[in-house]
Amino acid sequence: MKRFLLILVLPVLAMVYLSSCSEDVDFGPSIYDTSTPYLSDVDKWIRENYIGLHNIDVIYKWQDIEAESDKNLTPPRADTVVPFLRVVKKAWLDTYITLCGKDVMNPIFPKQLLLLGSNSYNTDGTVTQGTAEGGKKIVLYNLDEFNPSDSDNVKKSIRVLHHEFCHILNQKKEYNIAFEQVTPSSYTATWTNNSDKVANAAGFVTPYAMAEPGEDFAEMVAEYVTDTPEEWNALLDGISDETGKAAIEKKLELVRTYMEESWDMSLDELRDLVNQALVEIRKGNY
Amino acid sequence: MKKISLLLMLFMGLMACNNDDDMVFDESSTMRVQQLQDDCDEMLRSKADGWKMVYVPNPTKHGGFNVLMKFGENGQVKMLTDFAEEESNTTYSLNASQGAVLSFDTYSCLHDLANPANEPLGEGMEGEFEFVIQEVIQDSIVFTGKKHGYKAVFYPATAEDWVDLIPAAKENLAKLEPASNAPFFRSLTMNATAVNLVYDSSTRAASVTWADDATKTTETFLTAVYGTREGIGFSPALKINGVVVDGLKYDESKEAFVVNTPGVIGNLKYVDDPPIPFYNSFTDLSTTSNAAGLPLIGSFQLSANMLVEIMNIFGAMSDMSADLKSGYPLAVIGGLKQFKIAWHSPLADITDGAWFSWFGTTQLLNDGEFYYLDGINYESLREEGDQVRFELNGRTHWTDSTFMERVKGWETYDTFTEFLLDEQGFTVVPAGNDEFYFVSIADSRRWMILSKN
Repeated sequence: MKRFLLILVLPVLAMVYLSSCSEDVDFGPSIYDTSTPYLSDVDKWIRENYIGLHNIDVIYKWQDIEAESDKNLTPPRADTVVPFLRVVKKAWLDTYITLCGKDVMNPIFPKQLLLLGSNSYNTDGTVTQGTAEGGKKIVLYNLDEFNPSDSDNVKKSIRVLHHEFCHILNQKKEYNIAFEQVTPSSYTATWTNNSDKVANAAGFVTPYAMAEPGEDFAEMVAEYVTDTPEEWNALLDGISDETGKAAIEKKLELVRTYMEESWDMSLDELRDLVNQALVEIRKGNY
Repeated sequence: MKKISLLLMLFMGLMACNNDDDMVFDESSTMRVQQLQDDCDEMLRSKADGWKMVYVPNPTKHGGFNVLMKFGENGQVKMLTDFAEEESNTTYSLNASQGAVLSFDTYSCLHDLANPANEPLGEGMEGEFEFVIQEVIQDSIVFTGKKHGYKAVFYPATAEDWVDLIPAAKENLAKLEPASNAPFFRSLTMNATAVNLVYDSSTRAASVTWADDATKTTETFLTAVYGTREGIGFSPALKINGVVVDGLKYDESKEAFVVNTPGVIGNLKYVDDPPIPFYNSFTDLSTTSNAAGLPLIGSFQLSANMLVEIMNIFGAMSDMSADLKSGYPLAVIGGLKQFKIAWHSPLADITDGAWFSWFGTTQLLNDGEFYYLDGINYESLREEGDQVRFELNGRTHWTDSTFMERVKGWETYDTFTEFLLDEQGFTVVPAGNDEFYFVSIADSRRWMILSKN
């Protein structure tokens, strides 16, 4: 009897629930502003060169939900955005596209670049130069100091891009865990206390590489592809500790293999392309 | 029980879409926020000569900055201020986040006050570039900063403001800075009352100290200072003994600032003698803390970038007059970490007496800490408890003879002991934030700041 009651009552209840909110209300026009936003010259340039060509949106106007709320940050100057993005396109996007083609690379590229004018200061006194999030977004800081006529400054910016993009590659396809076993006991939270020389002797290309294996991998790629062959060799030749030097060489082989096997990319060809781009930028061709 | 539950569910189902709720507002919150944004945008663009505000990023720390803004089509805004050299043409937008928000969304002069590259590094001056709209009224728009919540009010600007307000404000603020050889004390008279007013151009704030002779106490507070066409303004106005002063006017004939408030006569002068007694400033300092010293100068840890480390050390140095500063940075690089006057030694075997203490390292970058102490006697010079004289009493103590010898060899040691042992002594002047000026009675241009710790 109870089951019979339930069978009888349930459809009635369902009808009440489903029908109770089905009034034919005319909701009228949207309360939100749905008109096409005004596009500045910077916006148009981004639409044409980043969204149109690569499906990458660039956020350069301040949106607080996009940035870390616990930091004090400022947006970039509007007039630095296009020069910066031209340089980024030349020495980052175009190098990968030349190597693998647009059809392969566009789906891999992050979908969003967030540009910030200020540095991102950390409580330990360090500065975050960039971050990569979920394979989809790269945040780049310190556009206030971007200077396209200063080749060291350009190289530093491009280095950050290659570092962060390497994180995105790793987020999509993990690297061989053997990489973490090359210098397993040398990773440290107090990496800031180490000089370049100490880091190199311990088997790392920079002190930051000592922070953790993921950063170590990204630092290897960023350092290798933005260095000229001479600069890279000078780095290795400057390491007196043979164990440290051998560790860096071993890591380089693992990075090379990862790029070949996971992404069908030649690390050395990428290096040549990045270096050619940096030379062109130095000449003002970007 | 099941029947009751079933009936309850049925009842709830019938109640769920009851449309008879009373609406407090006629429109939804989304529409109201959108309306406020639209009203604000229309109001901002309606003024041909734009808007002005005296912006105080943090009233407990900073002073006032004049900002002129002209809002145009397509989110363009022109900005002129008295803290950036050039005007900026930048963009703004209105959005809904903490209510309706006005956002200056690309870099402008205003962002200079929010830039974390300014001191203190990582924080900057706590300026805002996003403002929550509180109220749009006929002749003003009231905002609060989105991050820190301090109030900011826009008033209509005039065509003349764009021509002469900013240069005049800059010029008058520059006149407020004392000449390098000016006496230490800044006496501001307001009818029969005098206050000591110390202006800090780096924060555009003034530390104001006044004495209540009835209770024999002093009070120190900060007020924001901003430049005006005629002189300077105070925000909030100074209110002491029933006298209110909201600004000073620069009198060209007297080459001095005079009170600009009707019914109040007074002026601002630089004088050698304290304009007021700083009741019990030294007595309080010596009895309520066991030490007063320069802030910790910097920790000498191995760093990947020594240049930055050394710059940080200089940045953390406390202030003092120019003659005391000379030689001090070299001592810092040479291993000095801190010196202070301590009333109770931290050492277990020395439990009383006052000490003039030097802390440091025996060599650069060595993290070990050593100290060298000179025992001192002190004598209060007047019953107001704000003047003191020190003398060595012959007691010494050190933990490392190498460090002791190094300290004694420094020009810094000679300069500071000579300064501290001056027979005429010091007036102790509270500077706020637990900081105290020690001002030489013999020559008020010689002083240093000690921090309570």
